[in-house]
Amino acid sequence: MSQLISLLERISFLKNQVLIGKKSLLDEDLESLFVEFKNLISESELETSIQIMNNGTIILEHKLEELRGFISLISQKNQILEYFKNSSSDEALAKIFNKIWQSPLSLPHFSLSFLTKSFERLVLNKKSSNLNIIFKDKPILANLDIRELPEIDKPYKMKMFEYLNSIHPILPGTLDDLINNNHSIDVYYENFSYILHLLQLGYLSFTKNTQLFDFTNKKIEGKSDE
Amino acid sequence: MNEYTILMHLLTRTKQGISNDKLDIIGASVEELCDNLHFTGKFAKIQLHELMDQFSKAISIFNLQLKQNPFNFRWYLTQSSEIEEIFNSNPFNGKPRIAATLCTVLSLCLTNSGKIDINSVKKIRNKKDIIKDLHELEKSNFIIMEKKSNQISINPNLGYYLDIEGFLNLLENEIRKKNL
Repeated sequence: MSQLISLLERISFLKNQVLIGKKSLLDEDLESLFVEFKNLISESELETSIQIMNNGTIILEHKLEELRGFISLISQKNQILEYFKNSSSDEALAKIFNKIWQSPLSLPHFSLSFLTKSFERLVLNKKSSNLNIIFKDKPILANLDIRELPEIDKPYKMKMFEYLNSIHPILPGTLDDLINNNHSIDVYYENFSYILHLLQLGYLSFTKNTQLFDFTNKKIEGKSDE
Repeated sequence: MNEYTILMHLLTRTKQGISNDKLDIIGASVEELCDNLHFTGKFAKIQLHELMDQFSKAISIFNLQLKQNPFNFRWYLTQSSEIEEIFNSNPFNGKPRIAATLCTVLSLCLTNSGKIDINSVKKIRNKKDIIKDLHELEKSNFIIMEKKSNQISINPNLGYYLDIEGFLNLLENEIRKKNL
């Protein structure tokens, strides 16, 4: 038996149940039946498809009638008035809201260009640099050696240690000595962020009285003793 | 940029309303969606609904749903009510009295072509200081009170937060249970 004939039988059964008053269509999920029908319809089984359509329109007609009845029930003011007048408590009414409350998703402060630029910076740039080289020719589901995964902060660390090496000749020095003012504003803040990280990681020390930065004895990661 | 990106932006954006209340309007109308997606001609709306159908399936994994506000007919995105229930995110937690008043106002408005008299709420609720509840609901932008005519209507803003169809279904079930 083809799937289409099986569907026809189910729809015919549903139609008969509705016609003899054994089933209400208000809670019946007709959408899934029609989606199934839409996916199964074929030229080779046109006759069966027409029969399904025939039964389907009868069912829809009944569903519309039931909906009409439902709406008229709701529009019967007296019943609603009675219901609210005799409702047991505020808590019982408030419970209704717990089941139907929803929050709209709103992104008011992000413009489309901002989102697009963020996507380019965060995803496209990363994809085009390290990741492509590392994962090249490797199937996604292969057992990757975890040590081969890229360290997201590695380039930053490398730059930070390069900066540490570059300021070696001028240490001990003040903040003004360490941040080269001849550079653009971006580089200025970049160097400043290196200093903060180097302080936090213990590679640099700061003496409050003299306002001077200096080396500590901490060795740079990955460097062997020289 | 693809059609989903444009949809995501339009459905989650807020813009200031033109009316005096200056409320934010969330989402987009069918016309705005078609314009921005450059869907024109006879089949523009069919094209849009097909795209939205695919889009709603794609976002369902994030528990997001595509909905239409029944009061201003704008499409927008929302989280499912189950999630809201889990996190108790409705603003009436601990305020059952306000929730019950809104429940009454909403039901009366839906069955009285949109506008009702303040006195009808007073009669049904039969509680003291019901005006205070109404003012709080007005402040929360859930109802509109017209002082001159003494009438109340639903603020379209409520349509973003309440599943109206779900509300009617629950109400109908409750009435049925009582009548049994």
